[in-house]
Amino acid sequence: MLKNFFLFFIFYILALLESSFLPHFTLIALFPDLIFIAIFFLIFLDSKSDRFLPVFFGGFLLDLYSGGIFGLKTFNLLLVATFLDFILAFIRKRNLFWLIFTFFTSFLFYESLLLLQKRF
Amino acid sequence: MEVSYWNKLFSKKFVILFLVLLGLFSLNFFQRELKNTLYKISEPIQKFLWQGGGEIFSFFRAILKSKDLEKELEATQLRNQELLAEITRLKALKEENEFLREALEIGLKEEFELTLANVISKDPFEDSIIIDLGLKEGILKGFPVITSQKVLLGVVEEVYDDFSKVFLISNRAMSFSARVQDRETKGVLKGNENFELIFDLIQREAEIEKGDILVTSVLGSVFPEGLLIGEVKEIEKLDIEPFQRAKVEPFFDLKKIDKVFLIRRP
Repeated sequence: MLKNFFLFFIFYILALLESSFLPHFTLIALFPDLIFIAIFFLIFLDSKSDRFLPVFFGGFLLDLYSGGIFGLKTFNLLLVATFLDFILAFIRKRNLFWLIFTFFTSFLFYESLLLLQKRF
Repeated sequence: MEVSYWNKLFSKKFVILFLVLLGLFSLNFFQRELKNTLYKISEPIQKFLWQGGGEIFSFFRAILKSKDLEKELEATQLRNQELLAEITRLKALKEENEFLREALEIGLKEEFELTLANVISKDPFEDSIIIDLGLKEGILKGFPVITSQKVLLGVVEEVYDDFSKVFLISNRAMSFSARVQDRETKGVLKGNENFELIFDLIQREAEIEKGDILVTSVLGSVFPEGLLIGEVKEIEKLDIEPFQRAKVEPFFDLKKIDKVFLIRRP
Protein backbone atom coordinates (compact mmCIF):
# COMPACT_ATOMS: atom_id res chain seq x y z
CA MET A 1 0.00 0.00 0.00
CA LEU A 2 2.81 2.39 1.00
CA LYS A 3 4.75 1.37 -2.09
CA ASN A 4 1.78 2.27 -4.33
CA PHE A 5 1.28 5.62 -2.61
CA PHE A 6 5.00 6.38 -3.06
CA LEU A 7 4.79 5.33 -6.72
CA PHE A 8 1.82 7.62 -7.37
CA PHE A 9 3.61 10.52 -5.66
CA ILE A 10 6.71 10.00 -7.83
CA PHE A 11 4.62 9.91 -11.01
CA TYR A 12 2.76 13.03 -9.87
CA ILE A 13 6.06 14.91 -9.48
CA LEU A 14 7.21 13.66 -12.89
CA ALA A 15 3.95 14.82 -14.49
CA LEU A 16 4.37 18.28 -12.91
CA LEU A 17 7.96 18.53 -14.14
CA GLU A 18 6.96 17.40 -17.62
CA SER A 19 4.16 19.98 -17.97
CA SER A 20 5.55 22.98 -16.08
CA PHE A 21 9.35 22.76 -15.93
CA LEU A 22 10.69 20.86 -18.93
CA PRO A 23 8.92 22.97 -21.63
CA HIS A 24 11.60 25.61 -20.95
CA PHE A 25 14.34 23.16 -21.97
CA THR A 26 13.12 21.87 -25.29
CA LEU A 27 15.34 20.86 -28.18
CA ILE A 28 13.50 21.55 -31.45
CA ALA A 29 10.35 21.76 -29.33
CA LEU A 30 10.91 18.20 -28.00
CA PHE A 31 11.52 17.08 -24.47
CA PRO A 32 11.59 13.67 -22.76
CA ASP A 33 8.41 11.95 -21.64
CA LEU A 34 9.49 11.31 -18.04
CA ILE A 35 6.56 9.05 -17.26
CA PHE A 36 7.28 6.80 -20.22
CA ILE A 37 10.95 6.60 -19.16
CA ALA A 38 10.00 5.77 -15.55
CA ILE A 39 7.61 3.01 -16.61
CA PHE A 40 10.18 1.56 -19.00
CA PHE A 41 12.85 1.31 -16.31
CA LEU A 42 10.35 -0.06 -13.79
CA ILE A 43 9.44 -2.91 -16.15
CA PHE A 44 12.96 -3.52 -17.48
CA LEU A 45 14.67 -3.67 -14.12
CA ASP A 46 12.01 -5.55 -12.18
CA SER A 47 10.28 -8.13 -14.35
CA LYS A 48 8.32 -9.64 -11.46
CA SER A 49 6.69 -6.44 -10.25
CA ASP A 50 3.08 -5.55 -10.96
CA ARG A 51 2.74 -3.59 -14.21
CA PHE A 52 -0.81 -2.52 -13.95
CA LEU A 53 -0.68 0.06 -11.16
CA PRO A 54 2.40 2.04 -12.33
CA VAL A 55 1.09 2.11 -15.92
CA PHE A 56 -2.36 3.16 -14.71
CA PHE A 57 -0.92 5.90 -12.42
CA GLY A 58 1.38 7.24 -15.12
CA GLY A 59 -1.20 7.13 -17.88
CA PHE A 60 -3.92 8.67 -15.69
CA LEU A 61 -1.68 11.61 -14.82
CA LEU A 62 -0.67 12.10 -18.47
CA ASP A 63 -4.36 12.11 -19.41
CA LEU A 64 -5.05 14.76 -16.76
CA TYR A 65 -2.20 17.02 -17.82
CA SER A 66 -2.77 16.78 -21.57
CA GLY A 67 -5.61 17.14 -24.06
CA GLY A 68 -7.35 14.72 -26.35
CA ILE A 69 -9.56 11.78 -25.43
CA PHE A 70 -9.28 11.00 -21.74
CA GLY A 71 -7.90 7.51 -21.20
CA LEU A 72 -5.97 7.31 -24.46
CA LYS A 73 -2.55 7.95 -22.87
CA THR A 74 -3.26 5.21 -20.30
CA PHE A 75 -4.27 2.86 -23.09
CA ASN A 76 -1.06 3.72 -25.00
CA LEU A 77 1.13 3.01 -21.98
CA LEU A 78 -0.68 -0.30 -21.41
CA LEU A 79 0.08 -1.30 -24.99
CA VAL A 80 3.71 -0.25 -24.58
CA ALA A 81 4.00 -2.26 -21.34
CA THR A 82 2.55 -5.33 -23.10
CA PHE A 83 4.92 -4.80 -26.05
CA LEU A 84 7.86 -4.46 -23.68
CA ASP A 85 6.88 -7.65 -21.82
CA PHE A 86 6.75 -9.44 -25.15
CA ILE A 87 10.29 -8.33 -26.09
CA LEU A 88 11.72 -9.02 -22.62
CA ALA A 89 10.40 -12.59 -22.76
CA PHE A 90 13.04 -13.32 -25.43
CA ILE A 91 15.91 -11.64 -23.58
CA ARG A 92 17.86 -13.74 -21.13
CA LYS A 93 20.44 -11.20 -19.98
CA ARG A 94 19.52 -7.66 -18.98
CA ASN A 95 22.68 -5.80 -20.00
CA LEU A 96 23.39 -2.33 -21.44
CA PHE A 97 22.96 -3.44 -25.05
CA TRP A 98 19.49 -4.91 -24.42
CA LEU A 99 18.58 -1.89 -22.31
CA ILE A 100 19.31 0.48 -25.21
CA PHE A 101 17.72 -1.84 -27.76
CA THR A 102 14.48 -2.35 -25.84
CA PHE A 103 14.29 1.32 -24.88
CA PHE A 104 14.47 2.53 -28.46
CA THR A 105 12.17 -0.20 -29.74
CA SER A 106 9.49 0.55 -27.17
CA PHE A 107 10.00 4.32 -27.64
CA LEU A 108 9.45 3.95 -31.39
CA PHE A 109 6.35 1.89 -30.71
CA TYR A 110 5.05 4.55 -28.28
CA GLU A 111 5.74 7.42 -30.71
CA SER A 112 4.10 5.49 -33.57
CA LEU A 113 0.94 5.13 -31.48
CA LEU A 114 0.94 8.87 -30.72
CA LEU A 115 1.53 9.72 -34.38
CA LEU A 116 -1.28 7.44 -35.54
CA GLN A 117 -3.67 8.98 -33.05
CA LYS A 118 -2.71 12.51 -34.13
CA ARG A 119 -3.54 11.63 -37.74
CA PHE A 120 -7.01 10.41 -36.83
CA MET B 1 -5.27 -29.64 -18.45
CA GLU B 2 -5.22 -27.15 -21.32
CA VAL B 3 -6.69 -23.79 -20.60
CA SER B 4 -9.04 -22.89 -23.43
CA TYR B 5 -8.62 -19.72 -25.46
CA TRP B 6 -11.89 -18.29 -24.17
CA ASN B 7 -10.93 -18.97 -20.57
CA LYS B 8 -7.70 -17.04 -21.12
CA LEU B 9 -9.51 -14.20 -22.86
CA PHE B 10 -12.06 -13.80 -20.17
CA SER B 11 -9.66 -14.35 -17.30
CA LYS B 12 -10.18 -12.21 -14.24
CA LYS B 13 -7.19 -10.00 -15.05
CA PHE B 14 -8.40 -9.06 -18.52
CA VAL B 15 -11.93 -8.44 -17.34
CA ILE B 16 -10.68 -6.07 -14.61
CA LEU B 17 -8.43 -4.32 -17.11
CA PHE B 18 -11.29 -3.93 -19.56
CA LEU B 19 -13.58 -2.52 -16.87
CA VAL B 20 -10.92 -0.09 -15.67
CA LEU B 21 -10.33 1.17 -19.22
CA LEU B 22 -14.07 1.51 -19.72
CA GLY B 23 -14.29 3.52 -16.51
CA LEU B 24 -11.38 5.66 -17.62
CA PHE B 25 -12.93 6.44 -21.01
CA SER B 26 -16.23 7.29 -19.34
CA LEU B 27 -14.38 10.02 -17.41
CA ASN B 28 -14.42 11.98 -20.67
CA PHE B 29 -17.81 13.26 -19.56
CA PHE B 30 -16.30 14.68 -16.36
CA GLN B 31 -12.97 15.74 -17.83
CA ARG B 32 -13.48 19.48 -17.26
CA GLU B 33 -14.37 19.15 -13.58
CA LEU B 34 -11.57 16.63 -12.96
CA LYS B 35 -8.94 18.76 -14.66
CA ASN B 36 -10.13 21.96 -12.95
CA THR B 37 -9.77 20.27 -9.54
CA LEU B 38 -6.34 18.92 -10.37
CA TYR B 39 -5.07 22.27 -11.68
CA LYS B 40 -6.44 23.99 -8.60
CA ILE B 41 -4.51 21.62 -6.31
CA SER B 42 -1.25 21.80 -8.23
CA GLU B 43 -1.47 25.46 -9.35
CA PRO B 44 1.01 26.89 -6.76
CA ILE B 45 3.63 24.22 -7.56
CA GLN B 46 3.09 24.55 -11.32
CA LYS B 47 3.39 28.35 -11.20
CA PHE B 48 6.61 28.03 -9.22
CA LEU B 49 8.02 25.41 -11.63
CA TRP B 50 7.01 27.43 -14.71
CA GLN B 51 8.57 30.67 -13.47
CA GLY B 52 11.60 28.88 -12.03
CA GLY B 53 12.14 26.98 -15.28
CA GLY B 54 12.09 30.24 -17.22
CA GLU B 55 14.65 31.86 -14.92
CA ILE B 56 16.98 28.86 -14.97
CA PHE B 57 16.74 28.68 -18.76
CA SER B 58 17.56 32.41 -19.05
CA PHE B 59 20.56 31.97 -16.78
CA PHE B 60 22.04 29.11 -18.83
CA ARG B 61 21.16 30.79 -22.09
CA ALA B 62 23.08 33.91 -21.03
CA ILE B 63 26.16 31.79 -20.29
CA LEU B 64 25.98 29.84 -23.56
CA LYS B 65 25.34 32.91 -25.68
CA SER B 66 27.78 35.27 -23.90
CA LYS B 67 30.05 35.36 -26.94
CA ASP B 68 27.25 36.52 -29.22
CA LEU B 69 25.83 39.01 -26.72
CA GLU B 70 27.89 41.95 -27.90
CA LYS B 71 26.87 41.46 -31.53
CA GLU B 72 23.25 40.96 -30.51
CA LEU B 73 23.38 44.15 -28.44
CA GLU B 74 24.72 46.19 -31.34
CA ALA B 75 22.08 44.83 -33.70
CA THR B 76 19.34 45.46 -31.14
CA GLN B 77 20.48 49.06 -30.55
CA LEU B 78 20.48 49.75 -34.27
CA ARG B 79 17.01 48.24 -34.67
CA ASN B 80 15.85 50.24 -31.66
CA GLN B 81 16.91 53.49 -33.31
CA GLU B 82 15.10 52.55 -36.51
CA LEU B 83 11.96 51.73 -34.54
CA LEU B 84 12.10 55.00 -32.58
CA ALA B 85 12.12 56.90 -35.86
CA GLU B 86 9.20 54.77 -37.05
CA ILE B 87 7.28 55.47 -33.81
CA THR B 88 7.68 59.22 -34.30
CA ARG B 89 6.34 58.95 -37.84
CA LEU B 90 3.41 56.78 -36.74
CA LYS B 91 2.52 59.10 -33.84
CA ALA B 92 2.11 61.94 -36.29
CA LEU B 93 -0.07 59.73 -38.49
CA LYS B 94 -2.15 58.67 -35.50
CA GLU B 95 -2.82 62.29 -34.51
CA GLU B 96 -3.80 63.12 -38.08
CA ASN B 97 -6.09 60.05 -38.17
CA GLU B 98 -7.81 61.02 -34.90
CA PHE B 99 -8.25 64.61 -36.09
CA LEU B 100 -9.81 63.48 -39.37
CA ARG B 101 -12.07 60.96 -37.59
CA GLU B 102 -13.33 63.66 -35.25
CA ALA B 103 -13.83 66.05 -38.15
CA LEU B 104 -15.84 63.44 -40.07
CA GLU B 105 -17.56 62.25 -36.85
CA ILE B 106 -16.54 58.64 -37.46
CA GLY B 107 -15.51 57.91 -33.87
CA LEU B 108 -12.15 56.78 -32.51
CA LYS B 109 -10.98 53.21 -32.84
CA GLU B 110 -10.98 51.68 -29.37
CA GLU B 111 -8.02 49.81 -28.01
CA PHE B 112 -8.55 46.29 -26.74
CA GLU B 113 -9.85 45.49 -23.27
CA LEU B 114 -7.08 43.31 -21.86
CA THR B 115 -6.99 40.85 -18.96
CA LEU B 116 -3.73 39.60 -17.47
CA ALA B 117 -3.22 35.87 -16.84
CA ASN B 118 -0.39 33.60 -15.71
CA VAL B 119 0.81 30.58 -17.67
CA ILE B 120 1.06 27.48 -15.46
CA SER B 121 1.83 24.62 -17.83
CA LYS B 122 2.19 23.38 -21.41
CA ASP B 123 0.62 20.21 -22.77
CA PRO B 124 3.45 17.67 -23.35
CA PHE B 125 1.73 16.33 -26.50
CA GLU B 126 0.50 19.40 -28.35
CA ASP B 127 1.03 23.15 -28.67
CA SER B 128 -1.32 24.38 -26.00
CA ILE B 129 -0.92 26.00 -22.58
CA ILE B 130 -2.98 26.34 -19.41
CA ILE B 131 -3.61 29.78 -17.89
CA ASP B 132 -4.99 30.58 -14.45
CA LEU B 133 -8.22 32.31 -15.46
CA GLY B 134 -11.53 30.63 -16.29
CA LEU B 135 -15.31 30.98 -16.35
CA LYS B 136 -15.39 32.64 -12.93
CA GLU B 137 -13.34 35.53 -14.30
CA GLY B 138 -15.57 35.85 -17.36
CA ILE B 139 -13.22 34.14 -19.81
CA LEU B 140 -14.92 32.67 -22.88
CA LYS B 141 -13.88 30.38 -25.70
CA GLY B 142 -12.50 32.35 -28.63
CA PHE B 143 -10.73 35.12 -26.69
CA PRO B 144 -7.44 35.93 -28.46
CA VAL B 145 -4.30 35.68 -26.34
CA ILE B 146 -1.30 37.96 -26.86
CA THR B 147 1.98 38.76 -25.15
CA SER B 148 2.81 42.15 -23.62
CA GLN B 149 4.46 43.16 -26.94
CA LYS B 150 1.16 42.54 -28.80
CA VAL B 151 2.53 39.39 -30.36
CA LEU B 152 -0.19 36.86 -31.10
CA LEU B 153 0.09 33.73 -28.97
CA GLY B 154 -3.15 31.86 -29.55
CA VAL B 155 -6.83 31.58 -28.72
CA VAL B 156 -8.80 30.28 -25.74
CA GLU B 157 -10.08 26.86 -26.77
CA GLU B 158 -11.45 25.30 -23.57
CA VAL B 159 -12.67 27.06 -20.46
CA TYR B 160 -12.91 25.41 -17.04
CA ASP B 161 -14.17 27.09 -13.87
CA ASP B 162 -10.81 28.50 -12.78
CA PHE B 163 -8.49 27.75 -15.71
CA SER B 164 -8.46 27.87 -19.48
CA LYS B 165 -6.66 25.99 -22.21
CA VAL B 166 -5.12 28.15 -24.92
CA PHE B 167 -4.29 26.71 -28.32
CA LEU B 168 -1.06 28.30 -29.54
CA ILE B 169 -1.10 29.52 -33.13
CA SER B 170 1.29 26.66 -33.97
CA ASN B 171 -1.27 24.07 -32.84
CA ARG B 172 -2.31 21.84 -35.74
CA ALA B 173 -5.97 22.80 -35.21
CA MET B 174 -5.22 26.48 -35.84
CA SER B 175 -5.88 28.06 -39.22
CA PHE B 176 -6.64 31.75 -39.81
CA SER B 177 -6.11 34.52 -42.35
CA ALA B 178 -2.97 36.62 -42.26
CA ARG B 179 -1.15 39.12 -44.45
CA VAL B 180 2.33 40.43 -45.01
CA GLN B 181 2.90 43.75 -43.27
CA ASP B 182 3.06 46.71 -45.67
CA ARG B 183 2.07 44.54 -48.65
CA GLU B 184 -1.13 43.30 -50.21
CA THR B 185 -0.06 39.65 -49.93
CA LYS B 186 -2.63 37.57 -48.10
CA GLY B 187 -2.82 33.92 -47.18
CA VAL B 188 -3.81 31.38 -44.55
CA LEU B 189 -1.62 30.72 -41.56
CA LYS B 190 -1.67 27.10 -40.35
CA GLY B 191 -0.16 25.57 -37.25
CA ASN B 192 2.26 22.70 -37.82
CA GLU B 193 2.99 21.72 -34.17
CA ASN B 194 6.36 22.07 -32.40
CA PHE B 195 6.12 25.90 -32.69
CA GLU B 196 6.15 25.78 -36.49
CA LEU B 197 3.87 27.84 -38.75
CA ILE B 198 3.05 27.53 -42.43
CA PHE B 199 1.77 30.49 -44.43
CA ASP B 200 -0.23 28.76 -47.14
CA LEU B 201 -2.53 29.53 -50.10
CA ILE B 202 -0.49 32.55 -51.18
CA GLN B 203 -1.22 33.63 -54.74
CA ARG B 204 1.60 32.63 -57.08
CA GLU B 205 2.06 36.18 -58.34
CA ALA B 206 1.93 37.72 -54.84
CA GLU B 207 5.06 39.36 -53.47
CA ILE B 208 6.66 37.69 -50.50
CA GLU B 209 10.27 37.60 -49.36
CA LYS B 210 12.36 36.02 -46.63
CA GLY B 211 12.31 38.34 -43.63
CA ASP B 212 8.78 39.65 -44.25
CA ILE B 213 6.68 40.20 -41.14
CA LEU B 214 3.26 38.61 -40.94
CA VAL B 215 0.34 40.17 -39.11
CA THR B 216 -3.27 39.15 -38.55
CA SER B 217 -5.81 40.07 -41.15
CA VAL B 218 -9.34 41.24 -40.40
CA LEU B 219 -10.74 38.56 -42.77
CA GLY B 220 -12.56 35.80 -40.91
CA SER B 221 -12.73 37.91 -37.70
CA VAL B 222 -10.80 35.32 -35.68
CA PHE B 223 -8.29 37.88 -34.41
CA PRO B 224 -8.16 41.68 -34.34
CA GLU B 225 -6.30 43.25 -37.23
CA GLY B 226 -2.60 43.93 -37.06
CA LEU B 227 -1.30 41.61 -34.33
CA LEU B 228 2.27 40.45 -34.94
CA ILE B 229 2.61 36.77 -35.87
CA GLY B 230 6.12 35.95 -37.11
CA GLU B 231 8.81 36.25 -39.72
CA VAL B 232 9.03 34.45 -43.07
CA LYS B 233 11.99 32.06 -43.05
CA GLU B 234 11.67 30.02 -46.22
CA ILE B 235 9.48 30.23 -49.32
CA GLU B 236 8.26 27.21 -51.30
CA LYS B 237 7.15 27.90 -54.84
CA LEU B 238 6.73 24.85 -57.05
CA ASP B 239 5.76 25.15 -60.72
CA ILE B 240 3.10 22.45 -60.41
CA GLU B 241 1.45 24.07 -57.38
CA PRO B 242 -1.20 26.80 -57.87
CA PHE B 243 -0.15 28.58 -54.66
CA GLN B 244 3.04 29.49 -52.83
CA ARG B 245 3.68 28.62 -49.22
CA ALA B 246 6.19 29.81 -46.67
CA LYS B 247 7.63 28.57 -43.39
CA VAL B 248 7.20 31.14 -40.65
CA GLU B 249 9.02 31.47 -37.36
CA PRO B 250 6.64 32.78 -34.69
CA PHE B 251 7.67 35.82 -32.67
CA PHE B 252 6.56 34.32 -29.38
CA ASP B 253 9.05 32.31 -27.34
CA LEU B 254 7.24 30.23 -24.77
CA LYS B 255 10.38 29.86 -22.67
CA LYS B 256 10.29 33.58 -21.91
CA ILE B 257 6.57 33.92 -21.30
CA ASP B 258 4.94 33.58 -17.89
CA LYS B 259 2.25 36.24 -18.25
CA VAL B 260 -0.15 36.75 -21.14
CA PHE B 261 -3.03 39.07 -22.03
CA LEU B 262 -6.48 38.01 -23.11
CA ILE B 263 -8.46 40.28 -25.42
CA ARG B 264 -12.00 40.40 -24.12
CA ARG B 265 -14.55 40.30 -26.86
CA PRO B 266 -18.18 41.40 -26.44
